Amino acid sequence: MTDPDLATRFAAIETTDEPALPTGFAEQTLRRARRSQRRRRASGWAALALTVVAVLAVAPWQAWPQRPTPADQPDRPSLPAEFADLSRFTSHATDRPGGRAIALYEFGSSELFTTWQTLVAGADRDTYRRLDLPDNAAPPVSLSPDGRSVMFFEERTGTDEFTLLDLTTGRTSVRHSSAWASNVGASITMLAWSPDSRYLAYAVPAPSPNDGRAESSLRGGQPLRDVAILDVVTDTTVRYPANSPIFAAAFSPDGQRLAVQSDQNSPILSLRAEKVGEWLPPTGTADSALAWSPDGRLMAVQTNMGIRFVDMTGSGGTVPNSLRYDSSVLGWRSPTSIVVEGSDDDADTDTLVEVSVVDGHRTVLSRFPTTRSCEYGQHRCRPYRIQLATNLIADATIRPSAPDRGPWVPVVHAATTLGAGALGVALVLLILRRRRRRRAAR
Amino acid sequence: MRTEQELEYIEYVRARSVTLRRLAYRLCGDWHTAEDVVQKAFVLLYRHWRRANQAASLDAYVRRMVVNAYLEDRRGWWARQVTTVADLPAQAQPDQGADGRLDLLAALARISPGQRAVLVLRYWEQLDIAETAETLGCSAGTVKSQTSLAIAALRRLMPDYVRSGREERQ
Repeated sequence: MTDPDLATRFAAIETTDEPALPTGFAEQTLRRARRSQRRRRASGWAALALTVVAVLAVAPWQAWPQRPTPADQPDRPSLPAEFADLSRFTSHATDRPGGRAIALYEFGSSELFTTWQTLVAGADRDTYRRLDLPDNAAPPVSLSPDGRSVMFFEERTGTDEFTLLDLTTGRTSVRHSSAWASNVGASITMLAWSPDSRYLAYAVPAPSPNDGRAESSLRGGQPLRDVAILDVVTDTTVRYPANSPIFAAAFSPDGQRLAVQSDQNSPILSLRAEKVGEWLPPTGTADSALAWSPDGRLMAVQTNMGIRFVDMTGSGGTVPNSLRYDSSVLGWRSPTSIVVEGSDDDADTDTLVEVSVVDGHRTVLSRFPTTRSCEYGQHRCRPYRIQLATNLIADATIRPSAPDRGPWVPVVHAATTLGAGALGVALVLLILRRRRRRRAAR
Repeated sequence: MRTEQELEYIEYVRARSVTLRRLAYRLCGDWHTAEDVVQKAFVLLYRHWRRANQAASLDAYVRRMVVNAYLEDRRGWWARQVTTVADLPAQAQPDQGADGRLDLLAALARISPGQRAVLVLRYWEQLDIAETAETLGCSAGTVKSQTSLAIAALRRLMPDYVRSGREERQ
């Protein structure tokens, strides 16, 4: 089959059954072309608009740092006049750090449906961030006095690892606890941070007894524990074999001594976990908290009979009367006033109250919301286990409430990711389609 | 598109529809598909009318659009699933007038769209190698090699034609 041969054969099969073009073929083609042009323009503008919307919606939050405000000045920490209500749309502190915190607290309700979040409230702005903890659990967690770090221990992991979360960057790092084991299900409990936020004291289950019996690991129903002091900078731990139930501990204002509250002898330890003295806490302290006054003279002790004070200098000075109607000591605001968790019965709300230890004068600093935002609007959320950044509350002002829960809420994150993915796929398809058409046009 | 340009466009469509549909038919072997292919090419031409009008040869430009529209159509999922021609005989028969015409069309339908396009442009549309290369957007060497492959494919599909051709030459 040669070239001329093939040309001849093709010429021979010239078609004779060619049908006529449909009537109005040219006009129909013109209408179709116009329609195609309109669709193409519309889809192009829609894609452009979507892209612009996506960029405007996402980029400012994602790529650009938030505009600094006067409240960003680290020398002016503040407490919110009213804490923010519970919201599922609160960002995580690891994803969108909210800066140093003034308070850490659990917030929620469990009347019918268990709803809990562990939150940190910002010290410099009215930020609220969730900690990456199981919302409905209560793992050991502690806010550093400078408000920059949170240390927590996830019991479910079964390891000897603490997680240190930097609230200013959202980065986490690991610290290691003293080796421990428990035959009675006891775990680590947080005790206190040194004022310079370098040392963390915690209680660790004492070594299991040789007889292996559970009763030998308990005293008064409380597990026996040792006291450990973790140097957060070097990740080294020293341990004091207290072998007693440990209720609470507090560092002295200079950070060199640790007063431990136990059920029998309550030691004062050095930073090397050596006993350098003892002190005598008041009785009735099964559920306790301690706060050493900034001048080093008084220890505020939370007891089930109110807050009582102990003279730590032994100088025989005047010791304030106990505050009978308060039970939760959160820290000292000045050498003569403490901050406690209170309740305003008239408003049926929980409060942070500054109480003068001299005359008992009370000043409400912050309130928790009273709206029924928990359990699908059925109940009011309540704060629990409130901790304050004790180095910051002395200078803290009260700021108006303007909650910033962070740009990246989980639901929005998921929706935006899906939307961006869909948009990306649509754009790629559009580009491929155009390229194909352009190639066909050439 | 401005009104005067649209008038030029519609005039061109009216003038060239039949010729270009014939080219599309030669490529795809089906008048309905040919109509679709040509209309698709005209729709694209509407979008690129200004550029096409500035081309050295508008006809060559549009011919290339038709060939590309056909090749794109053949690449589509629907075209791969559905054949638009009747059931084909397993083997082509010697040329016997009208039957021979059908057999050559049947053999053309069995080779790849690219090779078919080369054969149609070269031997049915009587384009030279350079014009064919320009229409297909490839090099002259590619046209030559594809032509050779396409003819080899036709020989496999039409062995009796080869023998018949040799006998005729003898």
